[in-house]
Amino acid sequence: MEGFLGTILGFLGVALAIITPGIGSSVGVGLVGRSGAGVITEDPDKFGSILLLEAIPGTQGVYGFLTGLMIMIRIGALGGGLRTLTVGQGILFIMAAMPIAVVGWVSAIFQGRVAAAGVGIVAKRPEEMGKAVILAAMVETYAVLSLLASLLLVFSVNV
Amino acid sequence: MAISEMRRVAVLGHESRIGDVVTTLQRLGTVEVSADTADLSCPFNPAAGLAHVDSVMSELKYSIDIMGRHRRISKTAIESFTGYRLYLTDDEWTMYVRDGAENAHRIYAMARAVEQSLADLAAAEARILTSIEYLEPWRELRVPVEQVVPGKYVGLALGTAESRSYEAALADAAEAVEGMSWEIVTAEKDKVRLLVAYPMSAADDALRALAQAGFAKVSFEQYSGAPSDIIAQLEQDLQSIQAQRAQVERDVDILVEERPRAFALYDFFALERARLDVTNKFGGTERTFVVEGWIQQANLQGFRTAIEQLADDIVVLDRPPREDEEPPVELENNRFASAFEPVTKMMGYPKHGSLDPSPFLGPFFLIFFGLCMTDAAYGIVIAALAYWLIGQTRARGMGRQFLNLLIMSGLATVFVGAMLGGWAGDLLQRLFGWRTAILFDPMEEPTKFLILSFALGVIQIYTGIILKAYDNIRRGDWMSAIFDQVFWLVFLTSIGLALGGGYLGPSGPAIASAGQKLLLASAIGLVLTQGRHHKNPLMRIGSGLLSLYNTTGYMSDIVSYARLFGLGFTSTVLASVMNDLMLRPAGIPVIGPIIALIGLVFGHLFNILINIIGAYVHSSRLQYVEFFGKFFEAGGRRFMPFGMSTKYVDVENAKGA
Repeated sequence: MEGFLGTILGFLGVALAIITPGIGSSVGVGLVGRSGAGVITEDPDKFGSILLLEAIPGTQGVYGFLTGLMIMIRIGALGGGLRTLTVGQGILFIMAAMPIAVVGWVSAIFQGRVAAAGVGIVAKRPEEMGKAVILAAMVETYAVLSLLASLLLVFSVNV
Repeated sequence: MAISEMRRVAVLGHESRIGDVVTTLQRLGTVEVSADTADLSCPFNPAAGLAHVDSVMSELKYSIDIMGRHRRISKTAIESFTGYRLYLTDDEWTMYVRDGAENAHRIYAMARAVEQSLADLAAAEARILTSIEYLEPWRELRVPVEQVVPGKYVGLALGTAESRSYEAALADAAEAVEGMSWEIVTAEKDKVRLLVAYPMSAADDALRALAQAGFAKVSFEQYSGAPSDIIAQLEQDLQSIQAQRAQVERDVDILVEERPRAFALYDFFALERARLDVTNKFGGTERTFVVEGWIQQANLQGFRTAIEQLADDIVVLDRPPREDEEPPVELENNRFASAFEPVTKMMGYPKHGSLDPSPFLGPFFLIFFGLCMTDAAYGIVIAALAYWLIGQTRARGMGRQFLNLLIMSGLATVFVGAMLGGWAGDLLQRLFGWRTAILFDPMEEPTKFLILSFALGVIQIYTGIILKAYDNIRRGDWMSAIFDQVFWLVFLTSIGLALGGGYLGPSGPAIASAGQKLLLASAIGLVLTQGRHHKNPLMRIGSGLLSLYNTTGYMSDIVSYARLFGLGFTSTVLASVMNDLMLRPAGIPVIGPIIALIGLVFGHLFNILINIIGAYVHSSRLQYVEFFGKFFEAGGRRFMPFGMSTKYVDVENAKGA
């Protein structure tokens, strides 16, 4: 157990990176889907535009998954050669996962709210749909930055 | 390569030519008619014609809705995204719109008849079902219901009573009224149905006693015959309704065959409505008319020829816009640059007289899109898909430009992917051990990828500042170009040299110290000039000092380009993980390679799908926020020429009505 604790912490890092942004994206995508379904009831032709909006808050989940994957690669969880980590290394991986775990989670929910409001634009002024997309994409910046920070930290851990 | 040059045109002629002129205006679709005839009142009142057209259009709309409700249009998968269009040749169009109003009325009558029949049948069916439900519990009664009436000596009644209490209660009633008896028709858990007989001599007492016993009379006034016979008859009626409904369904089929005609007629009348509507913007006297509007310089000659051909007495005048006029804005670019117009238009139209950013953002957009996808194979898929869609959707205008943009973005992705060695991720390396990266491999050197992103950001931001300088010089504002743009360019460059010059080989320290001196000089220049709009010298310096704070704005702009790395790296790593997972079963004999192949195809398609949206959106965002912010002047009014805008139908070689 003693020698294994570091690896356990490493796994916790993977889990954190994947779980919380995943939750955030589910909430965000769900928000847009719910309001989008209302518009599709009225006008099924708007399905394509709604789907595009709905996909936007989904990226945080992918970023989290990506960070988790990079940690898995670093600790050898992919491919069978699992390394034994020191407790310090394990904690470093957890800390490295923190930016995307927190910012990915929160930003996905807020992005979902912006995109859900954008559904109104698609309903009333479909030609202005691009603006709804851009409004939602503005929120994404901070998820991208936190992904960047997380990745750079994951690379920096010596294993 | 810019914002279209607009001319103001006016057409004057005799009132009798107005129809021809309007039709030609609509067919050419090159003039935005705008009322600027304040000194001439509009003598043309199309209200009567409009009322007629509106009524025909609402009939057609009703008919089209009825058709849509009963028979959905079979759309292809693509059409469910892009919306349905009916494509007609010129001849088909002419055939469909002949005797327009008559055919519209005929279709409307058919639709009304179908709706009416269906409503009648539904009502009849509901009535029958209610009757059956009412009679069903009395099925066991053998007596025809019309005979259950008060007779000369004996009164009969049907009714219900409580299961639990009826025996005792009725026994009491029978004691009170001599000769009363009853028979159970059906008994249920909480209710019994009874046939009651009583002597007419004591009818009032009997009925009162029965009411006290909880007996509730049931009426069958509207029926005759035994309940089981009536039900059998009603069930036959139901079957006949089904048969009639099948007949109406055949009528619906016949109605739906008219759908293309209904679509064509709707658009035909919509076009007529537009023609009537536009005359509201005409000016005139008792015998003449004048119409004014905006036209693109390039279309002027064709317009003049077409109008003057109509008759000798029509005059076309044109002039450049006046100083106080704000002409509408249309973008005009060559085939390559026009593909980027949708990106600009999504942000909004540039102000009249400012720069059209479309050609300048093009190269950046393509490289950014390519970096976000980072895979040559994905690029091939995207370009091929867009090429295929052009053939499938017959898209025109903006849609076509957008698909062209997608083709170019796909090709750019091929280029960037080849540079960074992405061919369906690292598939080639896994299978054959090929090292495909020409520039560098982002998986091995992610930091280089990040630096590349920042470098592209610096280039684009500099381009934006230079464009603003060019715009200022174009307007003759040399001062602003030097103080606001050149000073900033020098300042930003010297920051870079002062901080990073030291790493540039043996002469690095010299470069760095030169950078520091330049930084100081340009900072002083900015402090002295950035507050020049203030009169008070103290305010000038204060405002100048404060302007240095804008540096943080430029820094955060550059950091924003990190998203290129974020998205590109995501795509690369996911591709590599797909390969890793999907190739694992490849070792299984016989079926292994098949499973791997299918898995790879689906895995990579999934990766394209989740990355393409981000690639488009973020490539756009970098233009709007980071690039446009440096020079773009929004607020242009979109040029909306009067033309053949239709809802359902596209006529190839449209000639109009």
